[in-house]
Amino acid sequence: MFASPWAATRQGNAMAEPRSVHGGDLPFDEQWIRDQARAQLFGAAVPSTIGRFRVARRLGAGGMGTVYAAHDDALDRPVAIKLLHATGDPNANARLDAEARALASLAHPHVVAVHEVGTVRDDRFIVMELVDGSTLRTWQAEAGRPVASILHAYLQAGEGLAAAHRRGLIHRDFTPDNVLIDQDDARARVADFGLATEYDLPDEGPGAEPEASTQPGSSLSRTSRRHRGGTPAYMAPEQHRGLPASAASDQYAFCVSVFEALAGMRPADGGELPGGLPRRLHRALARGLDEDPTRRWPSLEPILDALRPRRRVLPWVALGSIGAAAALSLAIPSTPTCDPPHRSDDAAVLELRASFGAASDAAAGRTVSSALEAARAAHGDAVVRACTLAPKRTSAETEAARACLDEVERAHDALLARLRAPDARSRVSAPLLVEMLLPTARCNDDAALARWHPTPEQAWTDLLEAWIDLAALPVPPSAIEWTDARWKALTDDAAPASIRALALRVRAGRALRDGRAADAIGDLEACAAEAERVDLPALRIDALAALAYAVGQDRKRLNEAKQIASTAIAALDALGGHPVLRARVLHNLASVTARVRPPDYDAALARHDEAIAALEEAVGAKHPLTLRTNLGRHATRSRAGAPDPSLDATVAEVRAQWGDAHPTSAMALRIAGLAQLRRDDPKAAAETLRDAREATETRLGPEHPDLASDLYNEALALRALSRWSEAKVALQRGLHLHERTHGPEHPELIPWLTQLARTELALEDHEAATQTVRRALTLAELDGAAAKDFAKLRVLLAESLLPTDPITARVHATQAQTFLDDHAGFDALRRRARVVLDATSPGRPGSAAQSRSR
Amino acid sequence: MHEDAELLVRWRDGDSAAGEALFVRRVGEITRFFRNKVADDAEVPDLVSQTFLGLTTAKDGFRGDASVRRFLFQIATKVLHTHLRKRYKRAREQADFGALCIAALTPRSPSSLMMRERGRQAFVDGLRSLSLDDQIILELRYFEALRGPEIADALELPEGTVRGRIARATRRLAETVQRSLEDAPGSRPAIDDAMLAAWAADVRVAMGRDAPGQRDG
Repeated sequence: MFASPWAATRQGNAMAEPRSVHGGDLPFDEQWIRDQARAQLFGAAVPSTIGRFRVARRLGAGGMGTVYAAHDDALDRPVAIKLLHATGDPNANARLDAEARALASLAHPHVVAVHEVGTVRDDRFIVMELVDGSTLRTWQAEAGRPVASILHAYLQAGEGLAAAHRRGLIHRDFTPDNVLIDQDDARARVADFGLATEYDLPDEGPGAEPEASTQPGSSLSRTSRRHRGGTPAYMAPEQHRGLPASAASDQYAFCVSVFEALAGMRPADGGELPGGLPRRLHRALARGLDEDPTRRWPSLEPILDALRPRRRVLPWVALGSIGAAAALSLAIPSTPTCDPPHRSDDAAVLELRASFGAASDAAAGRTVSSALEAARAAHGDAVVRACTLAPKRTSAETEAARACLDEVERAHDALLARLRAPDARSRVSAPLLVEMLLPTARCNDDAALARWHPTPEQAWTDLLEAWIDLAALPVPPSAIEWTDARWKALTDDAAPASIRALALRVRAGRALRDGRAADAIGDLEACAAEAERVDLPALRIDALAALAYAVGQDRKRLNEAKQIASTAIAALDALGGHPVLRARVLHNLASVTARVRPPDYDAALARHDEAIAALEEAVGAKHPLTLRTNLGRHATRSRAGAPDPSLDATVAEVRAQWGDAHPTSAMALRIAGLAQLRRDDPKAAAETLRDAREATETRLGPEHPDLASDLYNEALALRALSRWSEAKVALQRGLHLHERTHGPEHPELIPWLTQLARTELALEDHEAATQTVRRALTLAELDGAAAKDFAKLRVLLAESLLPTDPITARVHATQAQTFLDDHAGFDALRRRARVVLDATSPGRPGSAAQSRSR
Repeated sequence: MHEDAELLVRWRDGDSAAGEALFVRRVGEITRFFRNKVADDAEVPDLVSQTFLGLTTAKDGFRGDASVRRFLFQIATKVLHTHLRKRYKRAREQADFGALCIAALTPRSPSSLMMRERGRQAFVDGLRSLSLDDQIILELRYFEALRGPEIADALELPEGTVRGRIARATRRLAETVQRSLEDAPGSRPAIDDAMLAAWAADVRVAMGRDAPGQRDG
């Protein structure tokens, strides 16, 4: 197997680099070892640097790296630097950067501040605030440390941890060794967030078992070893199983730490809590230590509550070593202040965010949770403001403000609770719904408050559910029964104004879904007016956006629709914020702009792009809202004659997300089919457009007027395939539906009659064709159609009449020719007119004269 | 006298600058000697400084005619043995370093020796799975580019023994690496000596780019 054992040696020699004294180009670790050894031998501490930082000493080392005390000469401040071992994984570095950025933005008195992240050679380092003190473990072990002050330190650490959780940051390795106690003020600060793992296997699902491979050298064993870099004694059971750590895992580690501090032993080692502790603390820790992460507290807050001393009673005094001074320092001032409301479920927002789970939904989860957080923060500010205003208000006013704010809070909580159990439908609606929350502004505006009336909670929640139900059909709708009587009760004048506004909006949404645009228009107009009256600006704007869409269904009212959408945009500009709602309004405005005569494709596409960019940012590229908006852009691109090749992918994604029965899927198929027709693939177009028509037919039934346009499109494809009889059937069906909707004399019928006549002509049924064109001409005259339309119809009539009545045929062809003489273009029409004129020219065989003699 | 020997004599006479110069010349290979044989890099500086200190304190020490490098490796081996005995109970019970392997004592390499490339990691881990004596011989060969006679001299072993051990240990290493790579997804070609040498060179670079230890004479 080996020619000579010395072979590698010679190779090794050949590869040896020129002699050099050490230093210069060494990896940091190697340099550090040599410097340390040299310092031990010769007493000369060799100063090293990391990036621009001068390293003073080594503070400690862990599995993931080494911590040094250093000095930032640029800012002249001491720092702690954690040098992490190279992972070589660009994703890991990106995640580390993201996490460090998040940490850097988290300024909290009980979290060690992160200043910056850097790279030296291949190694990442994190520059942190240098805390002069000891670890919580050392500190709490010092003789005579009062239990109360230990618990106070854990309370502080827990607050830091909870603040990080609210930002979506998980510590992954909370232990008393990772909490630093400042020497000066005994302030506890949590360090080393998220550094416990190497971030290598973020996609490791619950099914993955990293333990399965323990072969040395296999990348998996190496990675999993790194991955579970937490401290085993404090790690939650799920972390031991190799599952990703969560806020609940941190909660477990926190409880182990508190337990250990109190009992002197960890619970797993048979520790027992000493007597004299409040029962609520027992309860809090027991639940936090549940094996099942889902059964732990939804957030750290209840545990922190249990750690907080009660106002008057100081239960821990009984524990002995506590001194009177410490007890006093723990007392909470009871002077009445205007504090923001205390929330026990801030983590619910986090949970909501986590429940969006999949990476494709992460952006939506972030947007939804931050919107809710912002709403809660605004509510908190409003409560403080109401409190400060109270002395200047009458007691009735104060009471109204309080009730108004309570109502807002309950509505927020209800929506939060609903969205925390997300399903396919609420996922779609959530980003918009959170922008529709009851606003707090009106609760402190005297004029608005005077108009305010309580909103019945149940009705509001039910209506939101009904709105969510509109989002997608594949999921069975909610169990709420929506009878006509209930709608009537919710929407009549006696209903509370805010309920009435919301009910009108939701009922309109249902009408639009069911293809009853006319019904929707009335409700939306009423909704917009009512929403304005009761200070629900976002709801008003959303109603206007929907109204623009509904009105725009009627081709003759496109200009009006555009006007409505522009009004909505202006109102939104004044209101500010609401990115998802804004994207929705832009989308509707763009769609109308592309269809109005003359269309402004550039403006439309610019708005589509703006809407899509906003949604990609807010909810991600794959979110249903983004997809639907993208679909609108595809439609406009196709109309503009510049179809986007990504259309097929978008259509597939839309159908996957909504299921084939949803109107959005039908719309996607329609857009795709028309694009196929435009790029001369009638075979594919016929199939796609048939699918679209069948989807609509399944949803709305065979007699629904909205089916007509699908039939028309399908007929166009069938004609392109020369499948004349099928095209004729489709056109006749559509024409029939149209007549029923618009009556027999509506100009909308003209294109139908034209297509039908041409199809009949192709089938050589000249009589039928003649009749059909004559009818179209009559309608065109009634409508005062454009000259070119008359010319087209006249040529068609001439062609229909040619075999039976060449004289009249020539008359119509001549009239058309008069128009064509004055206008450039229309080449096909010109050729067709020429054919008729040639065939009927006097003196030619088969000419008009001969025909007449017959 | 060789330069190393001169420096050592002066150091023993109290010239710490000479000691420091000697340290600078030799610290690389001694650091490398320890780095793949302990669990944590943090333990290495102590071991390195003890080794150099041993140059000046050893009773039966340097007589001025032997190679300083050989002397250093002898001390380093003793320092390592003591460290392992102290650190690991099992090593104390079973102090046959010809049979004991580092991987059994500390299943993980120091994190700084975590190699990005699978083959390189398999190589590093493979070295640790050899008996400690074999690991020392192969690491001198691979990391310090010592030839058989030089290794024999450094470890005070007969040349034939070293030659035989190199052949056997290299074969075992190749087999171990082969096995661990086969367990990983994706097939691997047979491990040959050139591949081992290539990984060794890569690992050497990862540990520091300075040259292998300076030769005596």
